[in-house]
Amino acid sequence: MDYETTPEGALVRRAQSGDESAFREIVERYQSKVFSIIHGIVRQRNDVEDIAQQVFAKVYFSIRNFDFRSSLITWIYKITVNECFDYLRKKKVRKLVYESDMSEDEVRRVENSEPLPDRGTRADTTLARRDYIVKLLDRVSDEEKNLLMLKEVEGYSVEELAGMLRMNENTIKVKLFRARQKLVKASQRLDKAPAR
Amino acid sequence: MHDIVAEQFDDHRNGRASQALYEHLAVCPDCVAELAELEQVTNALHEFRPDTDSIPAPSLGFYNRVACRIREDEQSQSWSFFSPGIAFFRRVAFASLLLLAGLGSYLVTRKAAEPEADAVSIMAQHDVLQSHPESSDRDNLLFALANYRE
Repeated sequence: MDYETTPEGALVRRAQSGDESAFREIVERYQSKVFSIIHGIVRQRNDVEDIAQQVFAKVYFSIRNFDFRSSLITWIYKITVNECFDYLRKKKVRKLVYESDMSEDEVRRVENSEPLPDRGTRADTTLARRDYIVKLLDRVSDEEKNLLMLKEVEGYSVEELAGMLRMNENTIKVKLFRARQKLVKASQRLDKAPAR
Repeated sequence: MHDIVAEQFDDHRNGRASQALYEHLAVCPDCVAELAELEQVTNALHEFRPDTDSIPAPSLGFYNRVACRIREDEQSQSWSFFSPGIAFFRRVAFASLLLLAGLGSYLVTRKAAEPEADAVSIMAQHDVLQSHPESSDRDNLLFALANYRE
């Protein structure tokens, strides 16, 4: 069945023609999913809504360019992941504090640079690990990043990805494999580079 | 890395790889090492998996805040027509520098192409005798009168 002729395809068509109620329906349908993706990547509760607003504003301004080659959620997912990585690049991951993991008192202590005996070290390690992964993912193309995230973070199978992205299963496998190889090379380069 | 590993990596992750893959790995330590590296970077991505317990839910009025943001963005986009921004001024400055450089090089090459004006050539241009033939005749007449002998 052609995606364009599905009920969701019709909803997108209405949004593309400027129907505000259709856009509202899209926001309400996918807001929880977008919040979940953003929180998984940035882990900053306070910034999740701000990034989500930015994502849906981008969806609004570029929905006319949506060409039905993938499903709407795949397209929104791509926009969301790009927004999250832009956010992380701007904020520098190592400076992030996991407020969700800490009590308000701990957050205040971190902000005041006071040492945190156990949880502080754990948070530092987690931040360093996430910072490292962001650096690795910066070395692959947007398409590869999107594919890797859909596969490894969202847990879609190769068959599902092939259906969602309208590609052959072997093409998906090859693309995923090349993307992973790039990550390995980036990781080797980062490990050799002196720590900054 | 041998093709069999590349082809069956995802199947291996899903526990659906063929026996041939494991037979190959048993005799190929290079592929075993590369497979381990691939698995390591792949597993690292799981860090971004959402923690279902702590995901913040969209609060009431989220759509209205999105709509507000869209209106603000639309307004800033329409105002940006009148305020071109730093990129525009940077382009203007660059174009001015290019124009100045072009003009400067033109002036320098033009001056170099001109013949050097020495004192003799300048005097030649202002030769009184050449520029005023009548006065030359007068001088000749006076010269002839002065030398006249009966």
